[in-house]
Amino acid sequence: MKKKSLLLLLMAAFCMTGCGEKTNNSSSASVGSQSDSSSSAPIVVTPANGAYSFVASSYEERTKILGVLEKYAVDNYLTGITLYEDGGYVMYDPAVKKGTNTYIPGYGFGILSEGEITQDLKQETNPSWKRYYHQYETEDPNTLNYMNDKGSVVGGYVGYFSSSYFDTKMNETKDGYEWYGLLSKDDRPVALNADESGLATRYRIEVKTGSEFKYGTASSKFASYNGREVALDDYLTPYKILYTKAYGMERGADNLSGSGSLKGLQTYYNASESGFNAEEFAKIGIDASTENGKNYLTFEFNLPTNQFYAMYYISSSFLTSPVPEQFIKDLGNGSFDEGVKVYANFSSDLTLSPVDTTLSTGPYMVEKWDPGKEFVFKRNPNFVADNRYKIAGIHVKILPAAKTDPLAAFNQFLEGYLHASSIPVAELAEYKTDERTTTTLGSSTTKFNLNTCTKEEWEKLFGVNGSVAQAQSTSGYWAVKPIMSNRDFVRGLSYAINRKQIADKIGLTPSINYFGSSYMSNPEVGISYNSTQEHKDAIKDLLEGTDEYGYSENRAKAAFKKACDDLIASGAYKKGDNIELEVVYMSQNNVTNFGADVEKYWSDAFNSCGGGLTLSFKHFIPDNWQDVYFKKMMIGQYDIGFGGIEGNPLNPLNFLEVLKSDNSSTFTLNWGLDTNVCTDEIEYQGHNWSFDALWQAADQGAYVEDGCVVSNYDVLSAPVAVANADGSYTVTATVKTINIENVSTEFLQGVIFDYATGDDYDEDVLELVSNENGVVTLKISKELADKYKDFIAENPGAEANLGIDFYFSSTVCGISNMPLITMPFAFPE
Amino acid sequence: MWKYVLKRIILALITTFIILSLTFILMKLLPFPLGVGNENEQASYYNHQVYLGFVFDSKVPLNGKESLWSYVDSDRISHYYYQVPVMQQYFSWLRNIFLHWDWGVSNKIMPNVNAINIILSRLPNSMYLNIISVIISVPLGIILGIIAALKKNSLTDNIISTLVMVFISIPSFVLITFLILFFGYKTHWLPPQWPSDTAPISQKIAAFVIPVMALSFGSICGYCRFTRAELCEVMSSEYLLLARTKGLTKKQAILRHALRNAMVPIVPSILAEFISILGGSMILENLYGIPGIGDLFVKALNAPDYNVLFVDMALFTTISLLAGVLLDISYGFIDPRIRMGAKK
Repeated sequence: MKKKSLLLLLMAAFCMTGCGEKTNNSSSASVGSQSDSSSSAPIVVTPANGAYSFVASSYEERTKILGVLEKYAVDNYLTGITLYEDGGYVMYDPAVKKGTNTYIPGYGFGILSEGEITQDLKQETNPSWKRYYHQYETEDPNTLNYMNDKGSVVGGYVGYFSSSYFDTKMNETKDGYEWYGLLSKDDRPVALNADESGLATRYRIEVKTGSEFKYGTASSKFASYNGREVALDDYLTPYKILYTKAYGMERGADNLSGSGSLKGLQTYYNASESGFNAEEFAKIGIDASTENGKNYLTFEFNLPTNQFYAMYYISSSFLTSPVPEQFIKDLGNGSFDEGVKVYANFSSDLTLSPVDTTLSTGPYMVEKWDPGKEFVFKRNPNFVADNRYKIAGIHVKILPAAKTDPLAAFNQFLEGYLHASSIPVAELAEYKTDERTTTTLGSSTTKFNLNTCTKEEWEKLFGVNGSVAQAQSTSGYWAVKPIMSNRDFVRGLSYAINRKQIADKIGLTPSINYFGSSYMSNPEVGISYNSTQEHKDAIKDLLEGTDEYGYSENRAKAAFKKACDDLIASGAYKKGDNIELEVVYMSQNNVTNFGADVEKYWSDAFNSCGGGLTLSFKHFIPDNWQDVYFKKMMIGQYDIGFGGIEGNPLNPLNFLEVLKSDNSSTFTLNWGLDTNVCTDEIEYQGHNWSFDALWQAADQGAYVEDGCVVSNYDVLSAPVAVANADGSYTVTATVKTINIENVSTEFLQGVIFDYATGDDYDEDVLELVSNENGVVTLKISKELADKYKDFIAENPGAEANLGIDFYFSSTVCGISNMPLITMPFAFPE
Repeated sequence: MWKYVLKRIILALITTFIILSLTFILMKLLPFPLGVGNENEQASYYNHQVYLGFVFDSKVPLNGKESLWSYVDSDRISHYYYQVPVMQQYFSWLRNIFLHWDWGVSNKIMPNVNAINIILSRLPNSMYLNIISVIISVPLGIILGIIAALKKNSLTDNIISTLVMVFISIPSFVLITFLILFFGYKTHWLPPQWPSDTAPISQKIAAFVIPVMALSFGSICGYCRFTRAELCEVMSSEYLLLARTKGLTKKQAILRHALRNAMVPIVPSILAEFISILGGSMILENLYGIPGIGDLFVKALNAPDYNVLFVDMALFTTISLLAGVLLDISYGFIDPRIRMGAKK
């Protein structure tokens, strides 16, 4: 279903907020700006300095930033080498009438929403299901509780029987989609405390209740809920289930902080370890109220956000579709806690199935569940909020063979058991031009990621004192190949791949783009970023002189020749050397389907370029495919690594966090350049920036010095203690606090702590004696000093854990927090 | 005799206990599957593991122990996640079984459902399949073996022996792939996948053909080869020659003496073959989409869903060991010369 495309495999969670225009601090030199460009004087470009936030900028402006950052990343191979997009050839039964014949990125063909089934399915034996849409799953999820399921499969089906506050539907011209209110009466939430830039933390929506929205169920055991009207309190029940820590929901902590998190959720979560905590629950940022007979929900976010993203955060992923608390209690025979275990699951004795344990607020409801074989949805007659849906039901067949056999589902389709199937590689030649075949666009691109580090760069990131990961010893260091850090060589690798030929072979869409087609430049109206001029400019150099997908054998050879000449001249290699690179794949299938072909392109072009070196490859294929990420690419133990990750397609700028060399997203895969170095390759609003600085300014607001993002607080020297005559200690430390326009920083307090094993943890606030000229003086009273000294004496090894937390108050471009820096501490001898 | 049987049953249960204990400990000693995703998603994952009882959340680091994952939440509270010691999990598991007969609930395969109920719901499919396979393969295998033995070194014997060698060499999961391809997709004679409960009865019956064929071919060949060898040996024995010289016809000699004696080792092998079929059906069930306990075992192992896996394992082990006991006892009934547990 369309909402499935909104699910995040990876959503680098960062906040969305900011302040007005940039400000310069006192140290800034003459500042160029865009308005300067109209004058005749030469443009003076200086490094950015001060506090910046482009969070509230228009979509057009943010697309410009995205273009600047993408170009830098592409030129420096931080994006790896894209091979293909995961869309491809799909065959549909002629009985399937699509909502549109134009595939809409992020929405699809609208089959289940605007589409129809015009003929009976040949092999369906149940007369009632002949006009149902038939699809398959390789494994039976056996649950519809999306709150307690990490995969995307359950989420897709939950969308069938749930409603979100806001949803998308196809536009009138059938070439895009638009957002509209579903559980919400209005098409957008109303900001209650918007600042001048339009950002707000509090949003209110009027929700549908009573006769406007009714539950549906096919269960005979809970038939009393069929047609029951949705009540305002029902909207709170899913929040109680999801965020009560004691219920252990697999998605319980997913939205406690970062973008779109509600105020007080983290505190409630921590306070509900032993069960629902009504007192703390009342404090979270969601409030149900009735005014003048209208029912409202008010949401308060931790961070200011614009109206669109507020709508998106409130409504995403169907997690919070209303359900009556009494229904949960009924499932648990009177116990809410027990009911939570059964909700959307089978009961422990198998007497109840998801037919009984779910209530529908969506277009379909669960009709039947035959474990391991099939589950079926039928139209929910009580769903009157949206009259688009025409298909009578959805039949999901469990097809385990399709997990390992690419032909299994395709054969089922040809036999008339299914309504659609992708075309396996082996059948492409025969069915690619079949009139039932159509092409789809993908949500992500798959790439060869690159480790272009020099030895020094690698050691800085992954050595024994690495900033990203720490090798156990120097024997665990990756043998960095000098050729990988040669820009011409890497460009040659990109030129050498005939993407079209490979994609045609495996039935996918060739691509040189970093983002998939579903990443939106303007998510409100569905403009794909890849269609913008900014993106075209970013990859212009890569495409010049090539076919439309970046392939040119001659350019590859020329680039390789230049790389060889430079590397031999520098002494890194000598003529006749063979260079062996390790390519990391997820499975042998990767090698069989395209890996061997790509390597052949590379070695053929390289070995015939006349550079005097030869190139060969060896493979690493882990037992567990995820290890290509965790044991290879994420810790720099590779040369070239196959794989891709997805982000939030509605916020591609946010997704660029995975290109930062500080690994703040925890999912950086391409290594080489330090991305927090100011460069003249990144120019925006008359300033030069580091990649990290401009990204952070656009994503959440940043304090920038000389074009680089830096912290506005720090402890510059380790705390030093001096013993006083009365047995107390005076501790001094030098701290950094930046206070300029839009940046406010203050040292708050010092807290001494120590711990041994188990829960023997203790901390105490220290007396602040003075805080002048960046020097903080704290006092440890005699009582406290004796306490911690005794603790150390009683617990061998505890002296290593003794430390002081330095708490600051920080506000950058409207984002306030209370960060701390922990410093080790020792009492003087 | 009964004392001997009781002793064997107790020994079988002790063996089951040891096997399950070792499996539990070895499975739990495997590297803990680490969380994936951003900080919030990882926090969700580890808190779910805490809920399941596999992990505990410490607010402080524990000396000398490497945490699975740690982070500071937005309320600035530190969380260090450690795996619950394996032996602690083991004794807790044993306590629940022996004190409450609680084998736990599934956490992946069918969340919240009692593991025993899951097994029970899938047991009939596997049992039907295996029993039908045995019912078909035993007579067919024995008859083919008799024919081959009686026509020893003839063309018929050579054909049967060659086919036996071919089919005994092909694993059932390879065979079923070809059968699905041929009967399911090429000729359309049989369903290519196991049908659902709502399918017509004819389709349900037809669905047994492919898996039963795949399971039976190996067994038929096994019985055939065994019968042929035993019968050939008996046929060349002196007592059979004596029977013929007494004036019995060949038919009489074979039916009254040769077959009866040849059956002594064959009949107990039926039980052994049943255990073998049970094991062989694991991958086969997975391939043909049969919701049985073999398919469940593979899924529980991959998930991993420990409680389901251990109940499934317990069932397989118990069936195998009890079948072994029955096997031993059956010798006594078939061959009067064998006396179980008799004192010298």
